Amino acid sequence: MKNSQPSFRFARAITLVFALLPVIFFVGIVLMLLWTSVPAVKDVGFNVLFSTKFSNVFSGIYTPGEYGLMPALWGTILVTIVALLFAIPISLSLAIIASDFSFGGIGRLIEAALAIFSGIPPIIYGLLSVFVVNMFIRPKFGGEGLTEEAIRALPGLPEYNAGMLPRELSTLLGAIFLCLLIIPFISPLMLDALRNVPASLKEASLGLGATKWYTLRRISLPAALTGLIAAISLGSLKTIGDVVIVAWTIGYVKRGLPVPVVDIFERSAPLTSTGAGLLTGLSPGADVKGGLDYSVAFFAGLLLMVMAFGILGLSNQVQKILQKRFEQ
Amino acid sequence: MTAETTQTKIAESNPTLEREQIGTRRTRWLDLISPSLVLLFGLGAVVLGALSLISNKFEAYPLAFLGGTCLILQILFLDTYRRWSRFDLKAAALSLLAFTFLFILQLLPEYVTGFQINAVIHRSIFSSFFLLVCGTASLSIAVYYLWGATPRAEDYSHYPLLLVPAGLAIGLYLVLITQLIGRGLPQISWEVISQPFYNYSWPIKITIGNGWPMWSAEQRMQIGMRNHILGTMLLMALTTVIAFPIGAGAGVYLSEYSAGRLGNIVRTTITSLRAMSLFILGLTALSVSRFAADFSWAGLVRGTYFNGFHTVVSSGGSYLTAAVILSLLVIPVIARATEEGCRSLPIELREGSYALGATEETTLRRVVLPWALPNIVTAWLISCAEVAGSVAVLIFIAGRGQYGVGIFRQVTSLAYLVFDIWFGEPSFKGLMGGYQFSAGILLLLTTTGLGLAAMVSKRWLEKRYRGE
Repeated sequence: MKNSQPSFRFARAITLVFALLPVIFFVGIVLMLLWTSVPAVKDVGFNVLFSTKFSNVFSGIYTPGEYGLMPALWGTILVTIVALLFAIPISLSLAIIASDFSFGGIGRLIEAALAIFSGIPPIIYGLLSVFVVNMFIRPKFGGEGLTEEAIRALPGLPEYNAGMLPRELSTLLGAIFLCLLIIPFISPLMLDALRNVPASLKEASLGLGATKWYTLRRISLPAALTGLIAAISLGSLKTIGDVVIVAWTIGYVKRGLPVPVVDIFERSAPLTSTGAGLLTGLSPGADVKGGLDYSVAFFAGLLLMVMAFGILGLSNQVQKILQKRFEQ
Repeated sequence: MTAETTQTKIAESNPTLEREQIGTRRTRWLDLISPSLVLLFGLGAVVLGALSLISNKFEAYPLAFLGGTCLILQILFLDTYRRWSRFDLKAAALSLLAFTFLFILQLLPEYVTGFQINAVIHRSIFSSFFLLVCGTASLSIAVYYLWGATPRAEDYSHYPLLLVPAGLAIGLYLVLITQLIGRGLPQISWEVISQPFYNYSWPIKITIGNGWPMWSAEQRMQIGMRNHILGTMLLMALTTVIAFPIGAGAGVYLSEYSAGRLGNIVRTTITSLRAMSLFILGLTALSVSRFAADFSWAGLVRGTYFNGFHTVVSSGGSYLTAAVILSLLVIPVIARATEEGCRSLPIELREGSYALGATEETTLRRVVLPWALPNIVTAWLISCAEVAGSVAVLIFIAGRGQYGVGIFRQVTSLAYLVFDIWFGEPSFKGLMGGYQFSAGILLLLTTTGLGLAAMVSKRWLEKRYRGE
């Protein structure tokens, strides 16, 4: 009877159309990525694509046909891990202050500040990176105040050249700004997770005489763990997908894996900025080059999408397992 | 029997309570000396650690602070034994740690290199790390003894662990934003905001010589960001027009009619769209504009621009293309918020509407949507801020937008201007070079204003439509 009302059917039909549009767009994007990266797989081949040798026009020494995306993949992983290492403790402590320990008003203040900071677009962080370079990177890691001869005389440096020291760009700088980008994003999610812990659990613990800290550590954090992991995975999705900050702070010039591989003071350009460098060299208004460079950039996009869905799936699995364990 | 004697009796029978009784007894001023000294040293160490993160000038002080912390913790250790007759192993371990740090800091040369790492690391980064660790830990110990070593004091003693990292992070944000305002604010003037940018050569005198027309041209240039500001507004408006109905409709569908398998597919897709990285959206925009290159209507998708003489089709994207791709970015936000708003409607209201004889369509229009309105409006404002700040979609398709604004003109925005000044062509960079921080401030004002408007409007609309 309900469905026989014509107006009701109209509302349903029109919302169905609107709901199907995103599905069509999504399928279109996936097909576009697959279709455009066919030449990369066909003409370059997986062997070359997953090797460690990469060069583009901006690399100094340019060898055509070196399309190894392994350094870029490692760059994405490295910068994400370092950014999360900084971001998780800070955003967790911010969320805990805002949810459980208010310190008389500070918690509310932090919540408002996070809401305002979360509106800062990534490009602003790129702009701010100049200040961190001046305040932190140059004096601490660049050997500021030393002459070139003095730096050359220091023991243990790899073959020194002026562009190699992290005077301006490094993975560390990128990680700092990705961390600043995701703190206001994941901290409210963590706050929600901590607030959604049933009050009965907390009150039972407090009623049995446990202190607030003990309750937090033994009751709230384990109960909120699934929410925390969801927040972290969403944050890591944001870090792996960001273009502007990494282009600005790490750059797009890449020759191979850093030596040693965990060297965060070198520039390990992630997939996004490598792809952007392949397409335009990040010079605005420049015509996009066609051919294999174009296709390989789209293959980088495809890798990124696979990584994103991998992270989503993994975090869902972990959440399911934890949920089961928590319920037992 | 008085209360005091009862307590003494319980204390005699219960040794754990006895310790608490001693803890809450009146403290003499002598007992407060060593913990307050530890507090002072800890605070000093944390402040010094934070300061030496941003400056190399504090090389002389870390040794003094670490040594002082080491010494004062040993005094606290003895004092604790005198007062409670027990050994505080935490204080002893921390003192040992401070001494180790002191020792390591003494051994380090001023510039540390090695392990093939591409950096000349200054010693002060180690000292600031050591100071932060020792300072936070000694703050914990000091708070514990200042509050009388009760279980509640133990609770309080963990607070520095929360407050120090949070304070450092918030301080970093504030320092950076203050520096941005300090650099950009002096250059903002009404002329820069209200004038468009142009830079082209214009013929001023045409003569016929040798049978050919010849002209002398003058370079006309003007600095300004009017078209970038207007472009940001147009981009927000277009994206709203495209994304708002689709997002709200999809959200209503998800909450009202999404019982079956199709609903699951739509929900999964919307989550996945959100997980799609910005880079992929940029690639999509690029491939759309390249796809249109061969058609006669290419100008509508690729965008046109006026180069001083005539309007030409450029290789890039128009505002319309950018808005379509950007709406993919914000549709999930609006849809999710709409769905949440519709689902939070109390069942009584819906059933009351049905009981009064309203059809489902009327209920949707008159009951469900007004209830969800605060959520929808908030999501819309937030997504407008996201559109204003998004560069990744424009990165491959923008470029010559500074010459004019229109739906089919080449796209640009304030956020893109910041990017363009940094990475752009040298002539543009040379003219606009000083204004990137000003553009950044305008962008920051836009997004922050939209965020504040979202907060205020949510509160106001909830009062209006939900009676909260």
